[in-house]
Amino acid sequence: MDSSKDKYTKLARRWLEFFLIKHYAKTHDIKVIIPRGNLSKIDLVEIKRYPNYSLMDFSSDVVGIITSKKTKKIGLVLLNRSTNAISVKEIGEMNLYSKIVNPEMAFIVSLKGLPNEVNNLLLNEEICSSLLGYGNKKIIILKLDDKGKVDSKTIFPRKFKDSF
Amino acid sequence: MYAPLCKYLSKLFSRHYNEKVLFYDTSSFYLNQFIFESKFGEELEYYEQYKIKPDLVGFVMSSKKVLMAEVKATELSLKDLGQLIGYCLVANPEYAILVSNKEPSLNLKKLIKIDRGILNYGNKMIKIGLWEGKEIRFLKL
Repeated sequence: MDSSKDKYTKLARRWLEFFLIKHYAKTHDIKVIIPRGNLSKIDLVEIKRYPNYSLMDFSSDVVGIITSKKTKKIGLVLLNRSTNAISVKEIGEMNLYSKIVNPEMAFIVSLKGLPNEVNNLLLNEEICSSLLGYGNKKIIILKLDDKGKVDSKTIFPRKFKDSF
Repeated sequence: MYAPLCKYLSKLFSRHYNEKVLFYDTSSFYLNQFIFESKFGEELEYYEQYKIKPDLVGFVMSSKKVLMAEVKATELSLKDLGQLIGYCLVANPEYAILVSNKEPSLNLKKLIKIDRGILNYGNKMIKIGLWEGKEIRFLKL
């Protein structure tokens, strides 16, 4: 039987797949997987074609792979999920992974959203920008409930509040 | 490891800054709360945002700087580095050390060798240390 974490991972996978289909299906082929180990060890041709894939010695809870139909260029979408409230520790982890992989998008989704202390931190623009920023992109944090619904009030950075 | 490391780091950084620097075990407190309730609350600025729980924190009073160490008893991983980077991006400590009594994992060593930039926060760099019982050996990866 699936644990609550496994169930939530599957829910997050479905949510990400739906999101990617909605935004990328016209221009990209889409695969969404739940890796069982480090990304560098995944036996998928798309991963092996990704630049510096051998450096990806870490795992992400859900990974989206989008391949441009026109150029065949591959983009990754990382998603880490938490059944608890999101901590700075988890944001730091995703920040580091994103700097290594430079994914097309990076998400941290949680059943419980952001606790007050992290929410207040992210309201500080400077801290929000350095904690969530990688290259010219930003990690997106959101609360995804057990029905797969996003609470738009919980999305960071706030500029994405109407995107989901 | 916290107590001997606090003692060692206090000594090391007191020498470095030529003034008394004290390290504290802050692992069970939010750092902002710890500072607020300590004598440093009146001296330091902008610490209200430090809602993080780093293991050890030192204070340099003359320059109002914060020093930070994250301590592990396992081989250091990318996850551990990510955790400390998160803390550093919030508190921007003058020094940040990731220390363990075990060698870093091969993965972490490999990644640092290829791109030392993964140790960066702002214009500073996290140091990786091996606790050898009496002192830290800073690793040149």
